[in-house]
Order: sequence, then structure tokens, then C-alpha cells
Amino acid sequence: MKITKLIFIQIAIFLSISSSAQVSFDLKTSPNITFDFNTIQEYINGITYMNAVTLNINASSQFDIYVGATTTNVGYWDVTQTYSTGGDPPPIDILKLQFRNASSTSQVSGFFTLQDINTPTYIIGTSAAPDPSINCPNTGTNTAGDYSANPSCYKFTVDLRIVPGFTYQSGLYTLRIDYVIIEDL
Amino acid sequence: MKKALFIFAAVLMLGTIAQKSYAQLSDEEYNYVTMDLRGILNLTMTTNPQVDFTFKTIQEYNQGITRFNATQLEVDATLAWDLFVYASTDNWTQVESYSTNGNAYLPAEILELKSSVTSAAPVNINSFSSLLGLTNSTVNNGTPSAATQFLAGAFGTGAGEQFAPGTAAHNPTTHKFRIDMRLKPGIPAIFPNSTVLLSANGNGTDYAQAGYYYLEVVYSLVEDL
Repeated sequence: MKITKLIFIQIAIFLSISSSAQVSFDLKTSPNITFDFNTIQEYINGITYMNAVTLNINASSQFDIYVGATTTNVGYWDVTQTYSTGGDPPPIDILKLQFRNASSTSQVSGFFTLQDINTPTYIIGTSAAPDPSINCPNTGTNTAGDYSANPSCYKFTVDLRIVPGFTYQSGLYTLRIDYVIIEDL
Repeated sequence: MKKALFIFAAVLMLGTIAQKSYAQLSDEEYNYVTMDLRGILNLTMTTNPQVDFTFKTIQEYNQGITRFNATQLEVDATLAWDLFVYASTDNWTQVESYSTNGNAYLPAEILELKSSVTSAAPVNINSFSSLLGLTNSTVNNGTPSAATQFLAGAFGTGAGEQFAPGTAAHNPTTHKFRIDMRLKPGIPAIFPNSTVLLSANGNGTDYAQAGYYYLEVVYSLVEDL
């Protein structure tokens, strides 16, 4: 009898764990991207990296997605090295992003400027919780789903673009872009 | 058995309720982005680098020869910049002499230059001015000084002592230079406009020896110094 109780308890625990919610990016690669400006034309026209990262969403509950930059000096790139003495330090908002999928579910269309992670840009949902439920394939799709079953709504490719112009100080700079998926509670 | 089932249900409910008290679920992905803003300074001469002055008439000796737009320069820069000019030697190099009298030493300063872009530097070529020879320009291993002739910017990094980054295509009034050149020998050929006399090297003869000479003019584009 005791063994039977024990078995039932273990099954119950197993079932409660297996029924828990999940929001995640699958098949993460965390790629490094380098923008190398070494011609005048590149300074004027900029450099665009298509498909810089792919976000494969796996969500069993309603979710939000937001993006922002992490740097030491809020709002500015981290400085590795400077090559000149003149010019302004480049702000993070010279980097622009674009989220794409087949159903255009991103709430932000086209290229938008990168903000600090403390004031991120919401691609899906808002900072308010919970948001109204939006089903695939509508803009703002935030209901449970996964990229393998519905890639048109649950798979984003992200493009990056920088058009620096001639304002900023020559040098080598870095930053980290954080893409966050979070349960919409 | 009933008791076992009761415990089963209780644990299941407890597990479900307990899940709701967990921290909000989230996940993150990253891009690590590097941006390399190279410093670029491009100086382009859009005209023939060879400029010829042939004096074969008395009129040309007396009035001189002026070559308008003899040299055209374009600057493309991603940094604040200066542009200065000097002769690579103190005097013209004689290739061939056509006579036995006269002074073969012709200082670089007999050549006059004028730029279409106004420079705020104290030594400039905003109007026709003698080109400074290497020693008088005080350029040392390519580094200018306050006594160097500047076409753009000036010696120093203070306000107004540099030209802004940009391209010639978008900033023709500040990034495109038209250089006029003039030589006026006179008769005798003493080059009266020169700031250095032909007799400066110790040779007492103050008029030029007939002959074929050349001089190298250096235009130097640098980051704001």
C-alpha cells in the first residue's frame, strides 16, 4: 500500500511538471556580426546584414518578445579602441533592426532603431500584462505555438543595418543585442 | 486505495498550483556586434600632375604665365582634416642649361600658387603667394608647423583649425580645390614676386640661367593636427 502511494505521488509530481508552461528560443546560435567600414561609400550608404540571427519560438503559453542593447555606458557603444581624437562617440541607435517572417507578425515593420535593454522595443506584446490574445497569422501573434508547426508566425529572421555618416569618432566598438522572449503574465 | 487516490489528486493539484508561484518564464538570444569605423583620408588629383611653363617670347617673360585651375584636388575624409602644400626641395632642379651665364639656382619660391578655398591659417595661399621650399615650409618628415602653408585647416586642433569630414561630391565648396599657378620671370629673369632671391645660395648672379628645370609640389592631407 505504501509502495502504491509512493507510485501515485511520483506520477502526480511527474504530471504536474510535464504540464508546466514553456517559452524559449530553440536552436540558438548567438552569432557574431562585424560591420567593417573601410570605404567612403560604406560610410555614406551603410552596411546591411540580412538574416543576422534567426529566432525560433517555442511557446506553450502567451508570450512577449522584446529587444534591446546591453552596453557598459547606457546608450553608447562599448569602446575597444579609438583611431582618432575628433568626432563624437557613436550612440547605439545608429544600429537598426528589422524583424521578418512570412506572416509579418512583428508589431514593428521595417527598420527601427536599437534602444537600451532597459527601454526595449517590443516586437510582440507590450510591457503591460496580460496583453489581448492575438492568433496566428495576425500582426502581434502572441498565443502559444512553435516554429516547426507554424514558421510563418513563430520564426523571425532579423536584419541589421548601420549607416554611420561622418559624425562619429573612428574606432573599434562593440555591443550586445539581447532578444528576449517572456511569458505574458 | 481511496486514500492513495486522494493523495494522488492532492499532489497533482499542489504541483499545478505551485507552478503558478514560479518566476516568470523567459529565454534570451544574443547578437555580439562589432563596428569598425576606419579613419579614411582620400586625396585625389583630378588633373594632369604635370604642369608646364614654357617661356619662349619676350611678352611671356615680362607678363609671366598663369595657369588657371592648373591642379584640381578632391578630398574625401571620415575625420577632421588639414591640407597643406610645400615643395619637396628648396630649389628647382636643372635638367639642362641653354646658356653659360645666369644663376642655375632657382628657389622654389619663384612659383606662385593660389587656392580657390579660403584657409584661416596664418600662412596660406588664399591669394597668389610664393610656394615655400622644404626648409622654409618647416615641414619635418611630413609633419607641418605653424609656418607651413595650409590650403585647409591650420596647425593645431582648436576650433576652426580643421575642416570637417565629408566628401567632395557633397561639399564642393570646401572639399574641392582649384589651384592656380603663376611664374613671372621678368627681364632680366629675376622673378620679382619671389620671396627668396636667386642669389640666396651665395651665387651673386640675380637672374636665372636659361634652361630646363623641374620642381615637385607636395600636397599633403592629414588628420587634424
